[in-house]
Amino acid sequence: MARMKFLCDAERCIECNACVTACKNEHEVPWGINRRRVVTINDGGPGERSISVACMHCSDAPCMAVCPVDCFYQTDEGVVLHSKDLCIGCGYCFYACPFGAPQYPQVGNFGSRGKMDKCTFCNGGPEDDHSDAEFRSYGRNRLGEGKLPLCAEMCSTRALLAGDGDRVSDIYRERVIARGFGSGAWGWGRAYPGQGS
Amino acid sequence: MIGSAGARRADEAVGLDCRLGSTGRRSWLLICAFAIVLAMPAAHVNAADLRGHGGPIMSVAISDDGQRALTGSFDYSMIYWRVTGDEPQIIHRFDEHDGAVNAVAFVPGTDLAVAASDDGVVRLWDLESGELEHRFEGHSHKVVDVAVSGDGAILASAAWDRTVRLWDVRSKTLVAVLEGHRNNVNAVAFSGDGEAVFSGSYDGTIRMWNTSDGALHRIVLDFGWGVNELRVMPANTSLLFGALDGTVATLDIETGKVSDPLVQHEGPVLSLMVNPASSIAASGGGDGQIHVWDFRNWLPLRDHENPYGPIWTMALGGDQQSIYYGSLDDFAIHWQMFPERPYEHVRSNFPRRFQVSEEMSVGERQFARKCSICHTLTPESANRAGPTLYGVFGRRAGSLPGYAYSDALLNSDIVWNEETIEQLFDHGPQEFVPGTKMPLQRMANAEERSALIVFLKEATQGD
Repeated sequence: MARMKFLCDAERCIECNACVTACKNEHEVPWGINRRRVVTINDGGPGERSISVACMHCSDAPCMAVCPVDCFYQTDEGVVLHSKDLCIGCGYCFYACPFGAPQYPQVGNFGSRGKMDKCTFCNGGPEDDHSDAEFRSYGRNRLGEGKLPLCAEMCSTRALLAGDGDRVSDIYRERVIARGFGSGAWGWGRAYPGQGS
Repeated sequence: MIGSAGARRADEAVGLDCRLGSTGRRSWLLICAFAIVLAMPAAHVNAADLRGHGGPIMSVAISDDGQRALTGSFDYSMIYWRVTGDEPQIIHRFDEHDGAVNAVAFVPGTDLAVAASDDGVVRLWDLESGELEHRFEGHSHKVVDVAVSGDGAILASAAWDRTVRLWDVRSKTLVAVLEGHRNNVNAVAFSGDGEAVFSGSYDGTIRMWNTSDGALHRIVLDFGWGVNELRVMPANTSLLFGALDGTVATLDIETGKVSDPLVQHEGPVLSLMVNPASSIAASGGGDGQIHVWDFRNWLPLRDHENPYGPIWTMALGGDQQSIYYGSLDDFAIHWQMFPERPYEHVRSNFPRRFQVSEEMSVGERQFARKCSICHTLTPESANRAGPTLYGVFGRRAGSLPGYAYSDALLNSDIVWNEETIEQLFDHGPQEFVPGTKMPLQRMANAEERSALIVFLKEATQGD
């Protein structure tokens, strides 16, 4: 069984934000929520790098460990999903996530208790596959249609890779060998301990 | 890394009598075995635990005299405890919050306490009368941490609206809004002299502000990883901070130099504790680990693991020999550090009430997973965030005595029956009763909704 992985090649990302737009459009993500965003380090200075960041679907996901109501689950393909029926909007997962993935919609007169929202690797949620209820709560289930996340599919420079971790690794390994210098894959070692920087 | 030899030296350094001295090894083993046997019948119950909440403990604080405690909980309440004697006693329960209580603190030199809540309000409570003194309003998102200056005059609140607000406790006015963080502010602390405020944020920075006018003094640290916890060390020259990547380290305020990590939790750091009187500091993490040091030399004193959950909050007990900590349980756990018990029972209930089995009916499973965190089915509400559902069918909304309903429910003419409960979960509480305290909870699946209603009708009738 393939294990799904994201990888952002910081040597290739040009900060076009197409991945962010594609995600918002595909899933009809409400105002105020960004499941994916582009972060630029050393903006305007030497060594400037941009990275597309979302839930990295960690193998040993810290959000799962701290959830007080056990609303997270991991699919056979390694995608970390959660049930919005169970989520109580406590915000605990935000403290635990190194990637800032959990987002909370503004609800009522204050921001608390909105159900957490995050990247689903375009894999929907616990509702029936491709149902209206699944789309409304979690967005499109592209993985269920045999497709990969749209953010990566839309990436014009192929900086953002998504798919079977082995295939992603092979592609990236070839790039690193061709370049002849370090990996530049920000976040990889944090999400997948023992597998690189 | 300092090993166990260091820990032994540290025990001696602080004069802790954690061994049996001249008792022979054989006797020692017998005593240990006897102690284990004695402890066994008391499994899952420790009289010193702070039991009274109906949801996970999010904050715990101990008064300077060590005789009183405060706990804030997900159940929308703060409890004021007397912790002298064998068993803690509840003095007051403050339940007029519209969201989870994330942080609590005593106001030094007064009989007041503050509670910061998910509803964006910091409440000032009179601990003696149990009355609400004031609502400090202004944050537009959940307030997650509070600190009070040593003289009890200024209150600082950190919120997920990316600001820290300073409030004058006596005049009950806003002093300043500290803006500049680029993400949620998770932690706030005053310097020992009260002249500076430090804030730690998910944006990875620790900032220093002037208390008098709220102006940014400088960014003391740009750590990169989010800063979850922050404490000012007693000498007032350094900070202890805990970060999202598991780092616990000290930070020199003047130079901005960060020490080597005191420990690297395998998960985010979620709680820190510094007690000047005993020279004890401790950290708790998402990995369920507690590490305790003598902060005069940073020699490790104790380690502890809660296998069933992260350590969200902690405070040193008044005896300076124990720690109260909050995890995923509905009570604050009392862990005796010195002398260490030969066998520490795990008191957490596992599986928890919402961790269901396949044998349950569809309706019962819906209740367990989606309702039981906040509601009971028995006559007693067990202090959970919502009122009991016992006898809910035919009951007018907002009519159960003793529960602090929102105005929306109090003024509602809804009567709970199959139809209204169906509508509640079909449309969601925010749409069905705008202004309710009930969190967003829709059930998209009509079959599951029906099954829940059938189950509730049966289960809420009582005997």
